[in-house]
Amino acid sequence: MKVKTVMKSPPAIVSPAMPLADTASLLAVDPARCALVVDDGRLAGIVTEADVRRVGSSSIRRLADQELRGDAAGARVVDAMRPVESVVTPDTDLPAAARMMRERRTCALAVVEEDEPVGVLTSSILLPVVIGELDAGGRRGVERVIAVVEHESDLPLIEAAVRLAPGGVEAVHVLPALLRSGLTTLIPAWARSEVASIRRRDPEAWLSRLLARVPGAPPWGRVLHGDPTEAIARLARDSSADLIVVRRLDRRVAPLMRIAPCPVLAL
Amino acid sequence: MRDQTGDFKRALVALDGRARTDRVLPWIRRLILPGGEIHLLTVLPPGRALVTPDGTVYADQVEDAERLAVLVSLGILADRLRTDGVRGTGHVRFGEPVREIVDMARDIDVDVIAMTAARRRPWWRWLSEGVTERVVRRSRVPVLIATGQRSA
Repeated sequence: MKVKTVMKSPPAIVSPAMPLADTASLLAVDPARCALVVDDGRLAGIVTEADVRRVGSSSIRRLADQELRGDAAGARVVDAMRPVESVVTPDTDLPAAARMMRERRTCALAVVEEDEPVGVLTSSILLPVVIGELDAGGRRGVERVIAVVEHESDLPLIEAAVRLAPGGVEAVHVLPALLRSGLTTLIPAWARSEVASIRRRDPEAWLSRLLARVPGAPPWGRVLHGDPTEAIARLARDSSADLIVVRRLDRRVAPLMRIAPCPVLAL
Repeated sequence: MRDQTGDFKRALVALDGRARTDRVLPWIRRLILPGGEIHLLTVLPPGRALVTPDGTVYADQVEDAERLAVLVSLGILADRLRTDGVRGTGHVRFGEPVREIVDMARDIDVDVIAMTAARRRPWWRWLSEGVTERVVRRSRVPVLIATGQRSA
């Protein structure tokens, strides 16, 4: 997620000479509770509700009221504003911006594009984003998961893979070699082709039908041939998979965990 | 099987004290939900006990010392998890590893067990099943196995 998707834009703009009470009135209705200070067209600083409170009274509304009564005459934005130590652009990644806020110990950042102030990002804007992520079950997660599908009963396994890596699941069905090459000569030629055709009868369509029953699953899977363990490990290596999800009682768990290039989740 | 949804809130990580078994931690950290719990478990062989002629049993004090030493190192890992927003707790048990891991998973009702696959020689694998294989077979919850070939 980028800064531009959540920043408050356009930002509230004030000048350094603006009376603090007017700024307080402005911030009281500004959703970000933050204004950029622009002097002669250049970004000169940033002022937040907390900065105003620090200089003036303990409440922005009270400060505005005092100004109306003439109690706090003389205080200006320049007395409360902070210099802009770091800025972000609309295309800055949100986690990077959040880390910058934490490192600089600031609760507000100016968003600048081609030297023009275009928005502000504050901790109060970030908090609902974080809450949304948490509600969505947000976690660092894994991006690419291989789901090893063997039977119709593997639907929960596909569902789990989709939840772990939405949009990053590759379903795989492996057809093992029928017989070792040295033994195939023992089977009559007609039977050999018959057996092969039975084993290969449209497994792709079977897998697609299975995947169609799981919301969010990819529309089609991949059918591999050969030694199942080696085929799965090779695919995981080639596709840089983060995780292989396999049935817990699958006989391939033990050999997989010896040669897999990534962790194996036995469900 | 209790949880097949992939929503893991509570995990049991089995560590045997060797540095490479820690490799599973970053992976389980990636899979567990924010605010989740990770229980770190090390199973040690049972200590000896001394039985005097009058029937008094003295537990081997070595066991307590070992427990303390392991808890300290697990505490360091747990602190690291805490700074990452996950509650980490260290546990030490004495006994047969597979039984203790499976029993503890049931006792604290975890959603997933995580462990690192041990490197074993082929002839030894042929002779006996490893701890990880046996945990996978006996566990009633999913098992995450770090193969140790790639870091998170």
